[in-house]
Amino acid sequence: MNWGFLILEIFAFGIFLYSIVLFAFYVFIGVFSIGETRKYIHQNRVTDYRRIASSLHAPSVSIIAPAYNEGLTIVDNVRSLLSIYYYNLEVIIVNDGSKDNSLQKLIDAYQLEKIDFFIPDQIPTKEVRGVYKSRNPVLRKVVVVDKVNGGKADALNVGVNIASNDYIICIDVDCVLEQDAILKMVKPFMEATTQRVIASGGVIRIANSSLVEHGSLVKVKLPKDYLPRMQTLEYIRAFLLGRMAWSRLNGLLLISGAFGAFDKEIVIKCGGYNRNTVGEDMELVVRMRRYMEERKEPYKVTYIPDPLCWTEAPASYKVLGRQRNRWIRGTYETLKFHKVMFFNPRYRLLGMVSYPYWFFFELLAPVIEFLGFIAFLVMVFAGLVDWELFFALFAVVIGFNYLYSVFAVYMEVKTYNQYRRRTDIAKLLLTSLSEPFNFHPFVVWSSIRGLVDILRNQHSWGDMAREGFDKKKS
Amino acid sequence: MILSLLSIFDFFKPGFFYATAAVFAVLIVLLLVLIYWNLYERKAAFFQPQSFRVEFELWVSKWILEDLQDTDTIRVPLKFAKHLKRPNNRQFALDGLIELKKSVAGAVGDKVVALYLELGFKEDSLKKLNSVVWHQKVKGINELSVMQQEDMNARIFKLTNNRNKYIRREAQSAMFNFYGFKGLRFLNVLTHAISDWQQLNLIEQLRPLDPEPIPGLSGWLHSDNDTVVIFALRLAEIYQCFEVHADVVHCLAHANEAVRSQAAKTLKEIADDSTADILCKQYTVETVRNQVVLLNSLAVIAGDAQQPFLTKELDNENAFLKLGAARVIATCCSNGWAILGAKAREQPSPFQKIYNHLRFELKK
Repeated sequence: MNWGFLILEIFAFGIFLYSIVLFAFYVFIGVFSIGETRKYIHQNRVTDYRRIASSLHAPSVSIIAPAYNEGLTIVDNVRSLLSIYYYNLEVIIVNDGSKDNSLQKLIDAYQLEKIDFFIPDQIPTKEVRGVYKSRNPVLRKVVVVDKVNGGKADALNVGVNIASNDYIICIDVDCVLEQDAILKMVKPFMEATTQRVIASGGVIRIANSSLVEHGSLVKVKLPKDYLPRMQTLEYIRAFLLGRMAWSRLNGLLLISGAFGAFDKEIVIKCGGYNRNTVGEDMELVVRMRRYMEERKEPYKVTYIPDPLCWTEAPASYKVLGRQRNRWIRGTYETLKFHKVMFFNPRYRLLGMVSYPYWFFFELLAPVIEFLGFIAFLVMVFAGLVDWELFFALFAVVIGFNYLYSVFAVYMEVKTYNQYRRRTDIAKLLLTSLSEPFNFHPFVVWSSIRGLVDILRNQHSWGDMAREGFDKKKS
Repeated sequence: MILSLLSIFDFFKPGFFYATAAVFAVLIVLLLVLIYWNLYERKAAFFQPQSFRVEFELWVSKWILEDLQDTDTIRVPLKFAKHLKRPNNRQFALDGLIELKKSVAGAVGDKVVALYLELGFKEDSLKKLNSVVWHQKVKGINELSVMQQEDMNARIFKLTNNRNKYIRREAQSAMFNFYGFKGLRFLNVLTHAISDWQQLNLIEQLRPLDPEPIPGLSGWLHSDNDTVVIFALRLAEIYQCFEVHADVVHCLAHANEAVRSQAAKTLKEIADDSTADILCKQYTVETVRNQVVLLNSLAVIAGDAQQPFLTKELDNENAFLKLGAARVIATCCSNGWAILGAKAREQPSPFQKIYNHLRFELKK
């Protein structure tokens, strides 16, 4: 028996099988997401959000926005949050020990004064240096907290401790929210009757090249640069297809840290955000779900397909690489913390489908792709490649990739149609052609580097330099 | 030699994979056609019949501003007849009238309804109402409701307990639109849950109406449907229905935590001399979540009689409850600040902070 041949054969067949299952999942996700999005759009056709927005009886909501060295944009960011259309709102800005003049800028711009504030220590955090509120009654919604630097999770936990309302919405301070974002995020919590909604996510869209004025999105434009444009397509696929399908299954494991709403009581009972991971957003959702599963309480994690939050995507390979490196480390850490759920029927869908999916197709995918590529190179040099079969398989893989992207663009056009010009859609579709040869290998490589960092015990967050949104020319 | 061994992949012929890739390619082309067809349709809908859209809106605006007595003689320009045969244009015109009706009232609103009937849109709405597709049905109910087609109330009333929550929700709103407080009669027969979102919607729909006695309120407070009880409690809170005080107190013993929580909130608004003591008694058997609600209610209705109970609660382990109890003492007890000051001297941490916090909060 030729052992080398046998090993290679098993490896190749393993990858083949893996790809079949992955494709099957993608087909399922694509088809399954349609119903959920359609249902959402139909039910919204007769929903009058204005009625609830001004209601005194609407549930009160606290927005928590951690900020670290955001001095350049912090005043505009807070103004953007204050312009949101919702009556019972509290906006908590947590200055996480910024080294720049963020705090002073906020004090000056919003006439803040330091106040005596008793903070119930429900979740342990680093020391809070002070709590500030505005002297101007019009700005009574604003609470600024200054604390010793402890990372994003620690800053969010301080916000949770301070929040006076039942629902919290955690966002990145530089995100631009749509005017009705809070209303739409609160709705799933209020609509639940048989299952408690413990968390809800909203779609994040890429705002590079879009016009932003005074913290509000004035005009949506397709990003001019390649990387943000590629991420636009990636986000459409991930949010409009992936998360909607998982939401319908009630198997969502991730709500983006840039924009997520939570039931504060469950967050506190779970101990808040975990400070020992760079994937604190995913880890919290998994822990909250695990908490509910272990108590056998009916619950749901929902997602809404409306484009409610706009953010700036990395425009350079360096920053994108750091981001993807961090994402894979966050995924690894989260799955490691909750490994007890892996194929554990006690956790039902969460343990039998969601967790294994993330393990095999999110965490291991870059490893398998990378090993597959190495094996391919070895086979090329050994002259073992059946080129005819290779090109046939390659055509299937590339064809499926393009089909999935085109389907995502079709769903976008059919539903929210944010990029209305035909040329924009053409650009988006053309961008997808280069994905398998440029963007995707880079993302895989960044993930591999992230996994290597795990082996080297690296835990840094990585600097996420921003270029700033386009501003309307006066 | 290696190549001469049989591989699993020998079972797969390249032709099979090429055929699969070809299927993908066909699907891609199909989707591309659909994408661009969609974009073309949207553009066409926006630009080509713009003359109809703009002119129709203009005509409607002019017409409703004309002599308000002239509702009997609606002369729809002939040029619109052709356009209104197209379903898209009909729906556009209908949606326009619906939006207009929502923003106007009185005689102008009547004129909009008259136009709705004259253009035969009621038949369109009825077609939707008869549809088996849930979202069509919902749209139909919505249109008939906004256009005040009360003659449809019997059919719509039957849908207030429909198993589809969206149909149910719209039908309930329609009953409110038709009959105001009297439309609440669907609560007598409702077996499905009524969500917080829907409750708030209904409450906001009621807001413009003059308050009036709510028939059946006492009965709903004893309903088997917990969400009906909560809604009734909310109504009793907002409209300060003192006559159901005893029923609300009864709800404090309800098995559902949310019902008890709402009962505590309602009692704050319809309190009598005995209420504060009742809430204090309830406090000892409540969940922490509801204890916070009870303290919030006590902050409005407590007095010196509750001071011993509240002082004891300052030693509660839960920091939120400590703060809540201190807030009630500060606001409701005649020597409240003195009590808190003494406690702060006796036990500076955390009571000095609580004292300072409340000083700032309550001076506002």
